[in-house]
Amino acid sequence: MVRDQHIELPALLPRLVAFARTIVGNPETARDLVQEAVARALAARRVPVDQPAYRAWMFQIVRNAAIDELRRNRLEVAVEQAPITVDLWRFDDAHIAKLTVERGLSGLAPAHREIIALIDIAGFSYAEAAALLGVPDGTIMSRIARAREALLAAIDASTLRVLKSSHGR
Amino acid sequence: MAAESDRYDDILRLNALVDGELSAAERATMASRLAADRDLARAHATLASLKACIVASAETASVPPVPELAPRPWLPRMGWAAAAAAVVGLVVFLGAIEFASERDTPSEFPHTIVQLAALPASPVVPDLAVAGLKLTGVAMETPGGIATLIATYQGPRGCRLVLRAQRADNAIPTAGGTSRRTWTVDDLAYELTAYGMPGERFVAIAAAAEHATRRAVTPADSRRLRQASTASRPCIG
Repeated sequence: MVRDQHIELPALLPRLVAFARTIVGNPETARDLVQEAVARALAARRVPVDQPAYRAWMFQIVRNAAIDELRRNRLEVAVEQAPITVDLWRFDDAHIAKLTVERGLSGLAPAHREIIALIDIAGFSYAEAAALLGVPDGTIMSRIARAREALLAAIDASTLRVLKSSHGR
Repeated sequence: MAAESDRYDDILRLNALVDGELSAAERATMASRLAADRDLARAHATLASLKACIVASAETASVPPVPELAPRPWLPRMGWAAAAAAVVGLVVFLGAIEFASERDTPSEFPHTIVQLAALPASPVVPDLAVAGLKLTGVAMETPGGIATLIATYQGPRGCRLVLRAQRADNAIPTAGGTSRRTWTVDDLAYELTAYGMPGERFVAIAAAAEHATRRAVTPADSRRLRQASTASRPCIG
Protein backbone atom coordinates (compact mmCIF):
# COMPACT_ATOMS: atom_id res chain seq x y z
CA MET A 1 0.00 0.00 0.00
CA VAL A 2 1.35 3.40 -0.97
CA ARG A 3 0.46 5.91 1.71
CA ASP A 4 0.05 9.58 0.95
CA GLN A 5 2.94 11.01 2.94
CA HIS A 6 1.29 14.37 3.46
CA ILE A 7 -2.23 13.30 4.29
CA GLU A 8 -1.94 15.05 7.68
CA LEU A 9 -0.89 18.37 6.21
CA PRO A 10 -4.25 20.07 5.54
CA ALA A 11 -5.38 19.41 9.09
CA LEU A 12 -2.13 20.86 10.46
CA LEU A 13 -2.25 24.11 8.50
CA PRO A 14 -4.32 26.29 10.86
CA ARG A 15 -2.00 25.40 13.77
CA LEU A 16 1.10 25.96 11.68
CA VAL A 17 -0.10 29.43 10.69
CA ALA A 18 -1.04 30.32 14.27
CA PHE A 19 2.31 28.95 15.46
CA ALA A 20 4.24 31.06 12.95
CA ARG A 21 2.10 34.11 13.66
CA THR A 22 2.83 33.86 17.37
CA ILE A 23 6.58 33.67 16.80
CA VAL A 24 6.96 36.38 14.14
CA GLY A 25 4.02 38.53 15.26
CA ASN A 26 2.71 39.32 11.79
CA PRO A 27 -0.18 37.39 10.17
CA GLU A 28 0.87 38.05 6.58
CA THR A 29 4.47 37.06 7.21
CA ALA A 30 3.23 33.95 9.02
CA ARG A 31 1.14 32.89 6.04
CA ASP A 32 4.11 33.39 3.72
CA LEU A 33 6.38 31.41 6.02
CA VAL A 34 3.94 28.51 6.16
CA GLN A 35 3.55 28.49 2.40
CA GLU A 36 7.31 28.40 2.08
CA ALA A 37 7.53 25.61 4.67
CA VAL A 38 4.84 23.57 2.93
CA ALA A 39 6.67 23.89 -0.38
CA ARG A 40 9.85 22.66 1.33
CA ALA A 41 8.00 19.75 2.91
CA LEU A 42 6.39 18.68 -0.34
CA ALA A 43 9.76 18.75 -2.04
CA ALA A 44 11.50 16.75 0.70
CA ARG A 45 12.82 13.34 -0.24
CA ARG A 46 12.57 11.94 3.26
CA VAL A 47 9.26 12.42 5.03
CA PRO A 48 8.61 10.98 8.52
CA VAL A 49 6.19 8.08 8.31
CA ASP A 50 4.51 8.04 11.72
CA GLN A 51 2.12 10.85 12.56
CA PRO A 52 3.74 12.33 15.70
CA ALA A 53 7.08 12.50 13.90
CA TYR A 54 5.46 14.06 10.83
CA ARG A 55 3.76 16.68 13.01
CA ALA A 56 7.01 17.54 14.84
CA TRP A 57 8.83 17.67 11.50
CA MET A 58 6.35 20.14 10.01
CA PHE A 59 6.47 22.42 13.05
CA GLN A 60 10.27 22.24 12.99
CA ILE A 61 10.32 23.39 9.36
CA VAL A 62 8.02 26.31 10.17
CA ARG A 63 10.07 27.16 13.27
CA ASN A 64 13.28 27.25 11.25
CA ALA A 65 11.64 29.54 8.70
CA ALA A 66 10.34 31.80 11.50
CA ILE A 67 13.77 31.99 13.15
CA ASP A 68 15.33 32.91 9.80
CA GLU A 69 12.73 35.64 9.47
CA LEU A 70 13.51 36.98 12.97
CA ARG A 71 17.21 36.98 12.16
CA ARG A 72 16.56 38.92 8.97
CA ASN A 73 14.95 41.50 11.26
CA ARG A 74 17.90 41.33 13.67
CA LEU A 75 15.94 39.60 16.41
CA GLU A 76 17.10 36.45 18.18
CA VAL A 77 15.16 33.67 19.88
CA ALA A 78 17.50 33.67 22.87
CA VAL A 79 16.54 32.27 26.24
CA GLU A 80 15.07 35.07 28.26
CA GLN A 81 15.83 35.04 31.99
CA ALA A 82 13.08 37.45 32.87
CA PRO A 83 12.38 37.97 36.56
CA ILE A 84 8.85 37.38 37.87
CA THR A 85 7.12 40.67 37.29
CA VAL A 86 3.52 39.93 38.12
CA ASP A 87 1.67 38.75 41.20
CA LEU A 88 0.13 35.54 39.94
CA TRP A 89 -1.71 35.02 43.23
CA ARG A 90 -3.74 38.20 42.91
CA PHE A 91 -4.07 38.70 39.17
CA ASP A 92 -7.40 40.13 38.01
CA ASP A 93 -8.71 37.50 35.56
CA ALA A 94 -11.15 40.02 34.09
CA HIS A 95 -8.20 41.44 32.16
CA ILE A 96 -7.60 38.15 30.37
CA ALA A 97 -9.37 38.21 27.01
CA LYS A 98 -8.53 37.23 23.46
CA LEU A 99 -7.76 40.84 22.57
CA THR A 100 -5.50 41.53 25.55
CA VAL A 101 -3.76 38.17 25.15
CA GLU A 102 -3.01 38.82 21.48
CA ARG A 103 -1.75 42.32 22.28
CA GLY A 104 0.36 40.96 25.14
CA LEU A 105 1.83 38.17 23.00
CA SER A 106 2.90 40.64 20.33
CA GLY A 107 4.98 42.53 22.89
CA LEU A 108 6.78 39.52 24.38
CA ALA A 109 10.37 38.53 23.73
CA PRO A 110 10.68 36.02 20.84
CA ALA A 111 11.83 33.28 23.25
CA HIS A 112 8.65 33.65 25.32
CA ARG A 113 6.46 33.72 22.22
CA GLU A 114 8.16 30.61 20.91
CA ILE A 115 7.57 28.43 23.96
CA ILE A 116 3.94 29.56 24.22
CA ALA A 117 3.51 28.75 20.53
CA LEU A 118 4.95 25.26 21.04
CA ILE A 119 2.95 24.33 24.14
CA ASP A 120 -0.35 26.18 23.81
CA ILE A 121 -0.75 26.61 20.07
CA ALA A 122 1.00 23.60 18.57
CA GLY A 123 -0.13 21.50 21.55
CA PHE A 124 3.18 19.75 22.11
CA SER A 125 3.87 17.98 25.38
CA TYR A 126 6.86 19.16 27.43
CA ALA A 127 8.80 16.09 26.24
CA GLU A 128 8.00 16.77 22.59
CA ALA A 129 8.90 20.46 22.91
CA ALA A 130 12.12 19.50 24.69
CA ALA A 131 13.06 17.12 21.89
CA LEU A 132 12.29 19.77 19.29
CA LEU A 133 14.39 22.43 21.02
CA GLY A 134 17.11 20.04 22.18
CA VAL A 135 16.79 20.93 25.86
CA PRO A 136 15.80 18.95 29.01
CA ASP A 137 12.10 18.61 29.93
CA GLY A 138 12.70 20.68 33.06
CA THR A 139 13.88 23.59 30.96
CA ILE A 140 10.57 23.58 29.08
CA MET A 141 8.71 23.54 32.40
CA SER A 142 10.50 26.66 33.65
CA ARG A 143 10.43 28.41 30.27
CA ILE A 144 6.67 28.07 29.83
CA ALA A 145 6.10 29.27 33.41
CA ARG A 146 8.28 32.33 32.84
CA ALA A 147 6.69 33.05 29.48
CA ARG A 148 3.17 32.95 30.90
CA GLU A 149 4.17 35.22 33.76
CA ALA A 150 5.69 37.62 31.26
CA LEU A 151 2.45 37.52 29.27
CA LEU A 152 0.37 38.22 32.38
CA ALA A 153 2.71 41.08 33.23
CA ALA A 154 2.29 42.50 29.73
CA ILE A 155 -1.50 42.25 30.02
CA ASP A 156 -1.38 43.88 33.44
CA ALA A 157 0.83 46.71 32.25
CA SER A 158 -1.24 47.40 29.15
CA THR A 159 -3.83 50.15 29.11
CA LEU A 160 -6.06 47.89 27.03
CA ARG A 161 -9.04 46.73 29.07
CA VAL A 162 -12.01 44.59 28.14
CA LEU A 163 -15.45 45.97 28.81
CA LYS A 164 -17.21 42.63 29.17
CA SER A 165 -16.20 39.64 31.28
CA SER A 166 -16.87 37.16 28.45
CA HIS A 167 -13.12 36.51 28.09
CA GLY A 168 -13.49 37.20 24.43
CA ARG A 169 -14.77 33.74 23.58
CA MET B 1 14.01 31.96 51.24
CA ALA B 2 12.28 28.59 51.54
CA ALA B 3 8.91 30.26 51.02
CA GLU B 4 10.22 31.89 47.84
CA SER B 5 11.43 28.55 46.56
CA ASP B 6 8.12 26.84 47.45
CA ARG B 7 6.26 29.55 45.63
CA TYR B 8 8.34 29.05 42.50
CA ASP B 9 7.78 25.28 42.68
CA ASP B 10 4.05 25.89 42.97
CA ILE B 11 4.10 28.09 39.88
CA LEU B 12 5.87 25.35 37.93
CA ARG B 13 3.38 22.75 39.15
CA LEU B 14 0.37 24.92 38.36
CA ASN B 15 1.62 25.43 34.83
CA ALA B 16 2.26 21.70 34.46
CA LEU B 17 -1.25 21.04 35.76
CA VAL B 18 -2.95 23.23 33.15
CA ASP B 19 -0.76 21.60 30.49
CA GLY B 20 -1.79 18.08 31.54
CA GLU B 21 1.79 17.19 32.43
CA LEU B 22 1.32 15.93 36.00
CA SER B 23 0.97 12.26 36.89
CA ALA B 24 -2.28 11.01 38.43
CA ALA B 25 -0.72 11.06 41.90
CA GLU B 26 0.59 14.61 41.42
CA ARG B 27 -2.80 15.75 40.13
CA ALA B 28 -4.50 14.27 43.17
CA THR B 29 -2.08 16.08 45.48
CA MET B 30 -2.61 19.36 43.68
CA ALA B 31 -6.38 18.90 43.70
CA SER B 32 -6.45 18.60 47.47
CA ARG B 33 -4.15 21.61 47.83
CA LEU B 34 -6.29 23.67 45.46
CA ALA B 35 -9.36 22.80 47.50
CA ALA B 36 -7.68 24.06 50.67
CA ASP B 37 -5.74 27.07 49.39
CA ARG B 38 -7.77 29.91 47.88
CA ASP B 39 -4.72 31.78 46.53
CA LEU B 40 -3.41 28.66 44.84
CA ALA B 41 -6.85 27.98 43.31
CA ARG B 42 -7.02 31.54 42.06
CA ALA B 43 -3.59 31.33 40.44
CA HIS B 44 -4.61 28.05 38.81
CA ALA B 45 -7.77 29.66 37.43
CA THR B 46 -5.70 32.54 36.06
CA LEU B 47 -3.31 30.22 34.23
CA ALA B 48 -6.16 28.06 32.91
CA SER B 49 -7.97 31.14 31.65
CA LEU B 50 -4.79 32.45 30.02
CA LYS B 51 -4.16 29.15 28.24
CA ALA B 52 -7.76 28.97 27.01
CA CYS B 53 -7.47 32.48 25.57
CA ILE B 54 -4.19 31.69 23.82
CA VAL B 55 -5.73 28.56 22.30
CA ALA B 56 -8.80 30.58 21.22
CA SER B 57 -6.60 33.21 19.59
CA ALA B 58 -5.04 30.48 17.44
CA GLU B 59 -8.47 29.56 16.04
CA THR B 60 -8.60 32.74 14.00
CA ALA B 61 -5.56 31.96 11.86
CA SER B 62 -6.32 32.22 8.17
CA VAL B 63 -4.87 29.36 6.17
CA PRO B 64 -2.88 29.89 2.98
CA PRO B 65 -3.59 27.80 -0.10
CA VAL B 66 -1.65 24.55 -0.19
CA PRO B 67 0.39 23.66 -3.26
CA GLU B 68 -1.10 20.69 -5.05
CA LEU B 69 -0.12 17.38 -3.52
CA ALA B 70 1.27 14.52 -5.55
CA PRO B 71 -1.35 12.42 -7.41
CA ARG B 72 -3.18 10.07 -5.09
CA PRO B 73 -2.30 6.39 -5.60
CA TRP B 74 -5.91 5.19 -5.39
CA LEU B 75 -7.06 6.80 -8.61
CA PRO B 76 -5.56 4.34 -11.11
CA ARG B 77 -6.43 1.28 -9.04
CA MET B 78 -10.05 2.29 -8.42
CA GLY B 79 -10.74 2.88 -12.07
CA TRP B 80 -11.81 6.24 -13.39
CA ALA B 81 -15.55 5.51 -13.19
CA ALA B 82 -15.41 4.64 -9.50
CA ALA B 83 -13.04 7.52 -8.80
CA ALA B 84 -15.36 9.94 -10.56
CA ALA B 85 -18.29 8.60 -8.56
CA ALA B 86 -16.31 9.08 -5.37
CA VAL B 87 -15.36 12.62 -6.26
CA VAL B 88 -18.95 13.51 -7.14
CA GLY B 89 -20.03 12.01 -3.84
CA LEU B 90 -17.44 14.00 -1.92
CA VAL B 91 -18.44 17.22 -3.63
CA VAL B 92 -22.04 16.49 -2.65
CA PHE B 93 -20.83 15.68 0.82
CA LEU B 94 -18.78 18.83 1.26
CA GLY B 95 -21.69 20.89 0.00
CA ALA B 96 -23.92 19.12 2.49
CA ILE B 97 -21.57 20.02 5.31
CA GLU B 98 -22.00 23.69 4.52
CA PHE B 99 -25.75 23.25 4.16
CA ALA B 100 -26.10 21.18 7.31
CA SER B 101 -24.16 23.64 9.39
CA GLU B 102 -26.79 26.27 8.65
CA ARG B 103 -29.88 24.13 8.55
CA ASP B 104 -29.07 22.12 11.65
CA THR B 105 -28.20 24.99 13.94
CA PRO B 106 -30.85 24.06 16.52
CA SER B 107 -29.53 20.51 16.70
CA GLU B 108 -26.71 19.90 19.15
CA PHE B 109 -25.31 16.91 17.29
CA PRO B 110 -25.82 17.03 13.53
CA HIS B 111 -24.37 14.51 11.13
CA THR B 112 -24.05 14.08 7.39
CA ILE B 113 -24.90 11.05 5.31
CA VAL B 114 -22.46 10.36 2.47
CA GLN B 115 -23.48 8.58 -0.70
CA LEU B 116 -20.65 6.87 -2.55
CA ALA B 117 -20.97 4.38 -5.37
CA ALA B 118 -17.90 2.50 -4.15
CA LEU B 119 -19.54 1.52 -0.83
CA PRO B 120 -22.50 -0.83 -0.30
CA ALA B 121 -24.30 1.55 2.08
CA SER B 122 -24.25 5.25 2.96
CA PRO B 123 -21.74 6.04 5.70
CA VAL B 124 -22.70 8.59 8.34
CA VAL B 125 -20.08 11.21 9.26
CA PRO B 126 -20.92 12.65 12.69
CA ASP B 127 -20.32 16.31 13.46
CA LEU B 128 -18.18 16.30 16.63
CA ALA B 129 -17.90 20.09 16.95
CA VAL B 130 -19.76 19.90 20.26
CA ALA B 131 -16.78 17.94 21.60
CA GLY B 132 -14.35 20.57 20.28
CA LEU B 133 -13.39 18.46 17.26
CA LYS B 134 -13.66 20.05 13.85
CA LEU B 135 -14.14 17.99 10.71
CA THR B 136 -11.00 18.91 8.78
CA GLY B 137 -10.93 16.51 5.90
CA VAL B 138 -12.58 13.69 4.05
CA ALA B 139 -11.08 11.37 1.49
CA MET B 140 -11.79 8.23 -0.44
CA GLU B 141 -8.88 5.79 -0.47
CA THR B 142 -8.32 2.13 -1.29
CA PRO B 143 -5.86 0.71 1.25
CA GLY B 144 -5.26 -2.93 0.30
CA GLY B 145 -7.70 -2.47 -2.58
CA ILE B 146 -10.62 -1.83 -0.20
CA ALA B 147 -12.66 1.32 -0.86
CA THR B 148 -12.58 3.33 2.37
CA LEU B 149 -14.16 6.62 3.36
CA ILE B 150 -11.81 8.50 5.71
CA ALA B 151 -12.94 11.48 7.78
CA THR B 152 -10.45 13.35 9.96
CA TYR B 153 -11.22 15.54 12.96
CA GLN B 154 -8.91 17.97 14.70
CA GLY B 155 -9.12 19.56 18.15
CA PRO B 156 -7.45 22.74 19.37
CA ARG B 157 -4.55 21.13 21.23
CA GLY B 158 -3.24 18.36 19.07
CA CYS B 159 -6.31 16.12 19.45
CA ARG B 160 -6.97 14.10 16.33
CA LEU B 161 -9.50 11.45 15.37
CA VAL B 162 -9.84 9.43 12.20
CA LEU B 163 -13.11 7.73 11.26
CA ARG B 164 -12.97 5.04 8.58
CA ALA B 165 -15.87 3.28 6.90
CA GLN B 166 -15.56 0.33 4.53
CA ARG B 167 -17.41 -2.82 3.48
CA ALA B 168 -18.08 -5.00 6.52
CA ASP B 169 -17.38 -8.29 4.74
CA ASN B 170 -13.74 -7.49 3.98
CA ALA B 171 -12.82 -4.71 6.40
CA ILE B 172 -9.14 -4.32 7.22
CA PRO B 173 -8.27 -2.86 10.64
CA THR B 174 -5.63 -0.13 10.62
CA ALA B 175 -2.48 0.02 12.70
CA GLY B 176 -1.46 2.97 14.82
CA GLY B 177 -3.34 5.27 17.12
CA THR B 178 -3.64 5.08 20.87
CA SER B 179 -7.35 4.26 21.17
CA ARG B 180 -9.66 2.47 18.79
CA ARG B 181 -13.31 1.47 18.60
CA THR B 182 -14.88 -0.62 15.84
CA TRP B 183 -18.51 -1.39 15.09
CA THR B 184 -20.71 -2.49 12.22
CA VAL B 185 -23.87 -0.88 10.90
CA ASP B 186 -25.72 -2.59 8.05
CA ASP B 187 -23.03 -3.52 5.52
CA LEU B 188 -20.45 -1.03 6.76
CA ALA B 189 -17.62 -1.49 9.23
CA TYR B 190 -16.63 1.66 11.10
CA GLU B 191 -13.39 2.25 12.89
CA LEU B 192 -12.65 5.32 15.02
CA THR B 193 -9.00 5.88 15.97
CA ALA B 194 -7.59 8.51 18.32
CA TYR B 195 -4.03 9.71 18.61
CA GLY B 196 -2.93 10.57 22.14
CA MET B 197 -6.42 11.36 23.39
CA PRO B 198 -7.11 10.65 27.10
CA GLY B 199 -9.05 7.38 27.42
CA GLU B 200 -12.19 8.68 29.12
CA ARG B 201 -12.65 11.43 26.58
CA PHE B 202 -12.24 8.98 23.71
CA VAL B 203 -14.79 6.56 25.20
CA ALA B 204 -17.42 9.30 25.41
CA ILE B 205 -16.75 10.58 21.90
CA ALA B 206 -16.62 7.10 20.35
CA ALA B 207 -19.92 6.09 21.95
CA ALA B 208 -21.61 9.19 20.60
CA ALA B 209 -20.05 8.68 17.17
CA GLU B 210 -21.30 5.10 17.03
CA HIS B 211 -24.81 6.19 17.98
CA ALA B 212 -24.69 8.82 15.24
CA THR B 213 -23.76 6.23 12.63
CA ARG B 214 -26.65 4.09 13.89
CA ARG B 215 -28.82 7.20 13.64
CA ALA B 216 -29.77 6.69 17.26
CA VAL B 217 -28.30 9.73 19.02
CA THR B 218 -29.56 10.29 22.57
CA PRO B 219 -29.58 13.45 24.71
CA ALA B 220 -26.92 11.74 26.84
CA ASP B 221 -24.61 11.66 23.79
CA SER B 222 -24.81 15.43 23.38
CA ARG B 223 -24.19 15.90 27.09
CA ARG B 224 -21.18 13.57 27.05
CA LEU B 225 -19.75 15.37 24.03
CA ARG B 226 -20.07 18.73 25.72
CA GLN B 227 -18.36 17.31 28.79
CA ALA B 228 -15.63 15.88 26.56
CA SER B 229 -14.98 19.33 25.11
CA THR B 230 -14.14 20.68 28.54
CA ALA B 231 -11.40 18.12 29.20
CA SER B 232 -8.33 20.12 30.09
CA ARG B 233 -5.59 17.78 28.91
CA PRO B 234 -4.07 18.20 25.48
CA CYS B 235 -3.69 15.17 23.24
CA ILE B 236 -0.12 13.97 23.15
CA GLY B 237 0.92 12.32 19.94
